[in-house]
Parts: sequence; C-alpha cells; structure tokens
Amino acid sequence: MLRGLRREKMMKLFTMVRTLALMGVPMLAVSAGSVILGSGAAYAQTTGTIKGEVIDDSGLEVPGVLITVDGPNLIGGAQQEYTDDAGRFLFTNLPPGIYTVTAEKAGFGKKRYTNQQVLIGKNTALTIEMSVQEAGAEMVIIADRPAIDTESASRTTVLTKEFLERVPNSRSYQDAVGATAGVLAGGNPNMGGASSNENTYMMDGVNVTDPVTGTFSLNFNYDAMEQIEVATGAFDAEDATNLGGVIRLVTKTGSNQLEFDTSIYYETAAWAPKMDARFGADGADLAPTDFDSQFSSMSFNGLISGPVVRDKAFLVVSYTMERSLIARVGIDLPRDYEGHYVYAKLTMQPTASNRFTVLSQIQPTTIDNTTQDNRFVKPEAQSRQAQGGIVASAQWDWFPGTDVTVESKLTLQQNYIETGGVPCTHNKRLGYNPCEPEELENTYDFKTPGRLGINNAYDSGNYYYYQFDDRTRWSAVSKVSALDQQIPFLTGDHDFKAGFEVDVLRWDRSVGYTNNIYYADWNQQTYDPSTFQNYYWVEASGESDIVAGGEHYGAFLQDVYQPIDNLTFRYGLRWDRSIMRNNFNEAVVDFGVFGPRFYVIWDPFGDGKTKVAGGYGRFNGIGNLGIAADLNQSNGLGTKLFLGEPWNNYTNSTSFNYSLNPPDNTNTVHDALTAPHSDEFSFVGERQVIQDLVFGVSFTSKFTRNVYVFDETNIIWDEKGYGFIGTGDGQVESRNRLRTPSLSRRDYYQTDTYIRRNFADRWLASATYTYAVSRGTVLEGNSTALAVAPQAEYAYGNLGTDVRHQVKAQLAWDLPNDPWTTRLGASLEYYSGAPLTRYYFSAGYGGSALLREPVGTYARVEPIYYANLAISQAIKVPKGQFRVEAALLNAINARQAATVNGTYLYAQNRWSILYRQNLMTGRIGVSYDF
Amino acid sequence: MSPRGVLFDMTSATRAALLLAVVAQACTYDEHLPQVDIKGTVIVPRAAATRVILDDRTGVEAEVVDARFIGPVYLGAYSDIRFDLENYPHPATGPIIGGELGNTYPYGGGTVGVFDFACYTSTLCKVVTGRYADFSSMLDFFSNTLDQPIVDEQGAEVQSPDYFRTSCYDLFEYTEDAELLFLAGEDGLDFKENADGDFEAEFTMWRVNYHPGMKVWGWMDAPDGNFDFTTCDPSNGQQFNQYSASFTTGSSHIDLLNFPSNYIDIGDFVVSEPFELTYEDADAFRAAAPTFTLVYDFPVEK
Repeated sequence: MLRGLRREKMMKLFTMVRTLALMGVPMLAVSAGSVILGSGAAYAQTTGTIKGEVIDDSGLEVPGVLITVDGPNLIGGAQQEYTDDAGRFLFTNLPPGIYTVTAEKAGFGKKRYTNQQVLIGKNTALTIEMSVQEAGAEMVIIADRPAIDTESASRTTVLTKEFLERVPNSRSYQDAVGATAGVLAGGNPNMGGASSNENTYMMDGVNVTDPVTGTFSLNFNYDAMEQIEVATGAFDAEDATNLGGVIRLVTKTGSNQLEFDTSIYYETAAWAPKMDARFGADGADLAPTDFDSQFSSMSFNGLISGPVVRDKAFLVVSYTMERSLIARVGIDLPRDYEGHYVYAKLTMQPTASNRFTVLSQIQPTTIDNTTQDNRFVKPEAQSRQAQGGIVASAQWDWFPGTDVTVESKLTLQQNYIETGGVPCTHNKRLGYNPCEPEELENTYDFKTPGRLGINNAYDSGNYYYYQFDDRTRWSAVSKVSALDQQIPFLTGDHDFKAGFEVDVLRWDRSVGYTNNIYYADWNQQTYDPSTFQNYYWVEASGESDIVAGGEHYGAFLQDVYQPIDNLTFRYGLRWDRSIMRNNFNEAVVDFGVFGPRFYVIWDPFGDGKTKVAGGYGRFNGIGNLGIAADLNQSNGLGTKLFLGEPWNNYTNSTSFNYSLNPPDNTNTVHDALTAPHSDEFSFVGERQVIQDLVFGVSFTSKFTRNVYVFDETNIIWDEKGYGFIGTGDGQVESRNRLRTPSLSRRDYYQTDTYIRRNFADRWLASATYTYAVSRGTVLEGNSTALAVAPQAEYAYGNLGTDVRHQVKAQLAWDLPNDPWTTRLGASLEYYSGAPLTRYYFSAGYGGSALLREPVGTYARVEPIYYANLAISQAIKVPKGQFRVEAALLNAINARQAATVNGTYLYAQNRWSILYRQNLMTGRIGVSYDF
Repeated sequence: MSPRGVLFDMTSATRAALLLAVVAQACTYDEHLPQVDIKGTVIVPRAAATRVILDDRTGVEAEVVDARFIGPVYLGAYSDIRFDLENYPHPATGPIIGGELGNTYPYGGGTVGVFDFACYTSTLCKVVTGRYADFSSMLDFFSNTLDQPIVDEQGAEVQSPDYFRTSCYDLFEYTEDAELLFLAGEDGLDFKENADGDFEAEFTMWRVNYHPGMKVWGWMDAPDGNFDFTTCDPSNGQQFNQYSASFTTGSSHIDLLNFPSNYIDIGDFVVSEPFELTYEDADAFRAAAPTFTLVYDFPVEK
C-alpha cells in the first residue's frame, strides 16, 4: 500500500508541476488573424531581401541602372548597386520594414517605388519599368506589395506590425500565433499536428526554446515586435530541428528617428456575466454553479528607440510590467502573476561590410498562489514561484562581397524557476524558512466535514514542495550565404547557403519536500466526516537532484536554384547530431540523423501572381534534456506513513511505517533509440485574384514515427491489459523504459483553404478554413501511452489534435476621421471539438483501462468560439499622438476547452471542465507615441 | 556477370523491387527488444468444460459440456518448472524465508480470458471474457445452466437482454456492445471444440523477457461449485462511487504468476509439459516466429 500511496502522491506532484509549467502565460489563447504568407526563412533569419529587375518599355533588360534602397529601419544608410547585364539587382540583409527603391540612369526617367515591405526571410520582388521617353522626369510610384512569394514552398505566416496593432488579441505573441491556419492556439500551441513541446521559438534569431521542455520560455513586450513569423511546415534545410513549427519574433530595430511609445492597459472579467464553469464532455451542464473563474490584469509598457550614432548605431530599449490575478473556480487565493520584461538591442554598422548586433532580455517574474487546481489546498500551503532568466546574444554579420554574407553568433539563454510553499520552504533564494512538522500539524484542520477529495475521500493535497531549477543553453552559430550565384555552363541562378551550429545544454534542478504533505483517507474511500476514522497522512522529505546535460551539433547545405525565372527548386540536406545525458552522465539520446528537403515552385504564368508548389521534407526531433532527465527522477525522497486515530481497520500494530524510495533508478532506456522524425509531403496553390487579394489551397500530409515513449518492463498484464497478474521482480512497481518504437506514431493531414488581403488602403482581411485529421498512438512525447502491452494495438485512434474543422478570420479597418483615425479590428475563431481520451481510471491495482476498438463515437469537447472586437481612437497632439483603445475579448462569452483540463467524476462517470480558460473580458488602454 | 556490376544485370522490375525493399527497410525500425511476444494455442481438456448439473425439477443429474465453464487460463514464462514443490508441476521459486513463499520471478505471462464486470454486482468475479457471445447467452447460462440468475441492484432477476444492455450502457455510459469486453462480439468466442472433444484457444504473451531455456507453463482456474474463482479479487478493479453506493468491479489478483500455489486448488488444470524455448536470443526467436501448443492436462487433486 505504501507504494501505492507514493504513486498517487507522485501523480499529484506531476500534475502540479505540469500545471505550474502551463501557467507560465498570464492568460491563454484567444487568437487573432494572419496577414501575409511568406517564404521559408532561415533558422536564425531576421532579415529579408529585395530582388528585382529593370526593363525598358520594350521589355528588354536594362543594365547599369543605379538602384537605391532606403528605409527607416535600414542601418548603415541607403544602399546602392547597379543592375547587372541581365538588368537584375538584389539587396540582402534588410531589417523588416517599409522601404523605398529608386532607379535612375542617364537617358531614362527616374523611378521611385515606395511602400515596399520587407518581411522576415522573404524576398520582395520588384520589376521596374523605365523609359527613355521619360528622360529627365522623376516618378513616384506607390507600388503594390507582392502578395505571393513565387520562390517559396513553405507554409509561413508573417504577422506584420500593422496586423499586430490592429487585430485584437490578448497582447501576447503566444496568442497572436493562433491566427495561423492549422495552429491550435494555446500558451504552447500545437502546430502541424505536432505536440505542444515540439516547436522552436526564436527571438531575433536566438533560440529561446526551453531546453528541457521544448516549450516557450520567454514573455515579451508586445509593442516591441516588428513582425512575428509562424512557420508550420515545408521548411528549408537550414530550418527546423524538431517536429512542430517555428515561431520567430523579430523586434523593432530602431532608426534615425527618436521614437517613444508607452501604454497602459487594464483588463477584467469582473463585469462579465457568470457562466456555469463546469460542463461535461458532451457540453451538457453537470450542475449549476453560478460561479466562474476570475481574471484581471494590468500592464504598463514602454519603448524608446533611436540613433546612438546616426546611420551607424540604433538602440531599442523596451520594458513591460504585467500583473494578473487569475482564480479558478472555488479557489480563494488568485494566482498572482507579476512579470517585468526588459529588453535592449543595439545594432551597429560601423562600415558597409560589418554589422554587429547585441541584445539582452531579462524577465524577473513572481507568481504567488500557483496551486489553482485543487480547491482543498489551504492558503498556507499555497506555493510561490519565482521565474525568469536572461537571453544575451552577440552577432556579427560580415558582408565580404556582393550578395555574400557570413553570419556568426554567440548566445546564452538561461532560465530559472524557483517554487516553494508559503511559508515553509527551504531557503535557497526565496528567503523562506522551512517548516517544522509540529508546526504544520497544528496548522491543519483536517477534521472539518465536507472537504472531500478524490473518491469523496478526505484529501487535503497540501503540498509543501520546493523546486530550484536552472536551464541553460549556450549556442554558437555560423552561416555563409552566397546569393544570386551563377555556375559556368549551367543556366540559372543559385542561392547557396551553408552553416553549422553548436548548442551546449545543461539542466540543474533540485526538488524536494518539507514535511507532512499529504492527508487522505485510507484507500481514499468514502469516510464518515462525523467520526473521521481511518485516515492517514504521509510525511515526505528529502531532495531529488537532477544534473542533465547535452550537446547538439547541426549543419546544413542548401541551394535555391532558378533555372528559369518562373521555376524554382529548393533543396538541401540537414544533419543533426544530438547527445543528451542523464544524471549519471549516460548518453540517453545519442544519434546523428539527416533531414533531406526538396521542393519545386512554379509560377505558371510568370507574372508573380500564381504559385504551384510541392515537395518533401524530413524533420528530425533532436530531443531535449527533459527526455534524458526523465531517467533519473528516482531519488532519495523518503515517505513516512502515519495512521490516524482511532485506527480501526488496520491490523498493523505499529503506529507508522517508514520507507525510502529505492535508491536505484527505476527508469531505464532501451539501447536502440532512433530519432523521432516526420516525413512531410506538401502542396500549395495560390493565385492573386485581384489586387492585394489572394486565394489559396494547401494540403499537407505528415507522418511522424518513433516518438519517444515509455513502456513498462516489470508488470505482467492479462490478455486485455485490464489488470496485471504478476511482476517480473516481485515488486509491485512500474519499471519504465524509454523507447522509440515504430508503433509510436501519428499521421496528420491538413487541408487549408484561404483568402487574404494584405494591409493596404487602410484595411486588411483574412479568412482560413482548415480541415485536419490527426490519428495515431502517441501525441505527446515521453508519455506512457503504449506502456500496457496488450492495449498498445488498441491505442491507435484520434489524437488530441484531431480538431476537424477550424475557421479563422480577421478584419481591420482604419477609418479616416481627419485629423484623427479610428481603428476597428475584429477576429473570430472556431474550432470543432477535440476528442477526449478513451481511458477511464481504475481504482487500486490494475492500471487504467482502455476501451477496445471500435468504441463508438469519440467523445469530444464542445466546439470553441472566440470573437474579439476592438476600437481605438487616435488623438493627435502637437508632439505625437495618444490612442485610446477599448477591446472586448471572447465577446460571445463562449466556454473554452481546447486545452482540456478535465477531471473524471466518479460520481457521474463523466468528464468535466472545472474552470474556464478564457473568460469574457473587457480591456481599455491608453498609449502615447511620437 | 556484366562488367557493369550486379545492379545493372537486373531487370527493371528486380531493380524496382530492390529499391522498394531498401526504402521499406529505411522506413522500418528494428528495436531488437529483449522482449518477445509469444503466440500459440492452449488446449484445455473436455473435463474442464464439463459439469454434472442437478436438474431441480426432475432430480436427475446430467453431465453438461459447455465452454462457459472454462475459467481464466493463465500462462507464465519461468526459468524452470519443477515437480517436487507441489503435488502438481510448479515453477521454480526463490528461497522460502520465514515461512513466506518463495517468489517465482516470472519472465512474462498472459491469459486467455480476464474477469470482467457484467454490470450487476451479482456477477462480480463470475464472468470471464471470451466465453459469452451475447447478453442472451449469459442470461441463459446463469439462469438455466448454473441456476444462479443474474439479479439487478434491486434484487430482481434480469430476464431481458435489452434491460441488461440498458443497465450496462447507463452504468458505463457506453454506446455500443463492442465496448463491453465480456461479450465476445465480432472477436468470437475464445474456445472452440476440437476434433478430440477438447477445447482450443489462441493466446499471446506480450513482451516476455526472453531467456534461452525458459519454459512456458500455466494453469486454468476452474470455478468451484458456486461458480466462484480463486484467482479473482473482488476488491480490485475499477471502483464505482455512485452517490451512496460504492463497489469495485473485481479483477485478477496481482501476484498470480509470482505465487501460483496460493491460487491453484482442486479442480484446476495445470500444464504438465511446459514448452521450452531454446532460441539463442530474442532476435532468433523473432526470426523463427514459432507457435506452439500448451496442453492443460494435469488435474489438480488433493
């Protein structure tokens, strides 16, 4: 029984830790819309290019035309070059933003093209027509922005500054990326059918993905972002060392103008109508509650940017203070989040051929009352968490020749999480004092009737838990790009790229308990509150330490070959070697893998308005330290069982038992691991039907195999996997083993149909419909989904990402109201319900039972609707302008259950959602900028 | 052979087949697990499915042969089977310390049939999967053959298959009969009568830790006169707390293979000739993919 208790206790601990991790975002997932489909960006890409040609009025190429590119974000001053013999020009390494392109040549007129937008990793194509008949004249042309990139096959959405400012969301990048087709919004979204911990997060070219969990690790000033690129598939060889998507944040760079932007926002759900917070999986209300979760937040933002040395050095400094209060149903003390995000970036270009960028972000954050999933937790048992970290990066871009770039970068990413009970926590950094057992016992009122836990049993669940967690990634990246190159005797142009990267990872964690953490009824059976017999409590103490480390080496070769103007081949090969070591310095993950990519893009009419593209890519999951460290969770934690008084049903004459967890490691790794990988086949067709308006369809099939999974080697199961009939070593305890079996797989199909209109003429619009099918055996890596051998073959079924119908739409409109402007923004999202797991829980020994197939209609959560509305009014003042915004988020007050946090109700055998993740809230804000 | 090499001597079809084979090989992944799935056939003697039933109305005893009498069949893989430990073949055990039984430390095991809850507490630990085709079959067997009618929670005899189904759907919130394990459904009944009049069934022992020389052995738990099984633990299994009612659904004891002698009793049938696996290692076993027959021919007597 003691082992059983420990297992239950550890499950609760795991749930709590997971909850803490999930609560790293102030508020999850109301999403917004997409704007521009771009191209496959470099893994560390933060810039774009302008590429084009000059022709005369007879259509012939014009060489020797002086092309000048200039824009407010362009450091180093305007760039110039002459068109080559074929009349072509190319400008690389341009920070995202708006540019003007000027063409001039003696004997021709001078043409100035304004409003050219450069996107992250995108090539902005421009054809300039010049005429001798216009000689001496200067024409300013407000050019159309190209809506289709006819050289890229990737599925990429770039959310521009115009979009981020206008389309309402919860003002976080995590929320904004939900605009992309096929992205299931959330703090850590599911992208392309992958699990939520298989994405890569980049900030200004720096990998800021959590090296342990594979999730996001950074919060950020929303107003400091220039663009966000969301890439969900068809990556080039230089991209993607994981199975999910890539989110790239590119911040503002500054300019020669001094700019200042400050804002304050307040958001609350206090006024919103309350809804029943609980509902069953089928959407039916379980019981009226008349209460709801609570939410309010306030944020202050400041940003200043400008020149340190005109044309030579730009500086951006931003700061955000964010505080939010979130209380789940029945929780007295709200989770109190207070974060401070400070970011600074200095970009210097002292000479034309050298650019240096140094940046740093720190984000000290505290979260009080983190335990929001158990309403029986006493206030004194609530935990406090401190978290934060630093990102520091230094990058040197060397431009040794025309269209040749050598990029070198060193980065440090370090995150920390410190969690402790209040007030009883070992004091390492938080400054609390450890509790004494007697002190705790006198604190608890564990005899109060009516405090029911699992199975209606008394279960205080009061954890006195602490955690000190440091995660570090050192990275060195170097890449050489030689664009627009020709090979003798071979027609066409090549964009060659090659690079390598080295990552050194480390995870230091200490986890432990102070005393007396767990009270429950014997066997968690229903008890009689009036007598309160047969209870026990468990005292646990001790500490578990993890020191995991690893290295990753990556290299790639890539070519973009254009044999003719309207046909592009993108192909390359990526190699990754990954080594992840556990506490004992054993290489749990140790492999080298190749990822070939090949795509063809065709512009059938050669007018830049149509694209037909398709191809294949293999993406490998290089793993993270969480995989290695899962093998050394076994530790020296001790548990002591106390029996309550009076103790009627227990024959043991001793008053308590004491045992230590086995010092040996109960987790092992199978010798033969292979890298999880996805084989993706993609197709996209797009057509610009009218100016700025694109219609497109895309289809993706993605087959992921060998996902990390734990199986079980000790328990001997019966024929159905319903219960077990023996154990190999005589211990009633699971022996988990890490594997990458072929059975551990998922198949994903996604079809998108979309229209989008880029922001132009004061408005933008976008709408996507996604049909997705996701089936397989394992969605989340590192799970025990296939542990019960007889049921493994039944495990294949609909996965959590099987959200069949997804509709996303965004609209923004700037109303001219001279001298001011009124902005209207709206977004709508619809997700059909996700399938629920088919497991039900079994009490006592015997594990959980899996229903055999066919199991009838999958239970699904009810569909999810979001609607956000915003209106803002600019008020110009002599210096700059104020803007007042009012927004209504989740305007239809729909309940959200995309990320199911359900609890199985034994009383009614139904799932329920015990809290709402998104409430209807109102937000007001005032900003000032000049 | 052509000077150009073997590959160029092949026909196009052969080259294509070879290429496909290479691609297929690249797409599969052999883990070389030290565990194997062991498949085969169990045979229980006709006597295990035979009962002498007294007809209360006529007072005449009659011998009834019915596969529904066959209890759960257990299989285990052990280092050795000895004949000197009990009065029936029994796996070798570890040392007996302080009077406590020695553990057999099985390498793996499996069953043919498991205990499943048939929606009413009156069936607790009496229903084995793979033995009943449908609700009617079960009602008929318990009412007419065993003379132990299934009763609902109010004590009323369950006579209607539809009522039976409704009770199950309400209890488990199921939507199809296929979700009820105790009904064989499309899978069919486990045991079929063979030409010798005995009963055969297929089995799989999942992920058995392979050791050369290990022996597969097992026993069948025969029900007692009240149709109870010694290997079922009524306090185990899924727990239901429905308002004021609380019950567990029953499941096998969790140490059946570790301490078989605790559960083997009179009337059970034991394998007297265990099957020895002599393949060098797990990979060799998988390459051979053997199947074999295990006969439960040894009746346990006092």
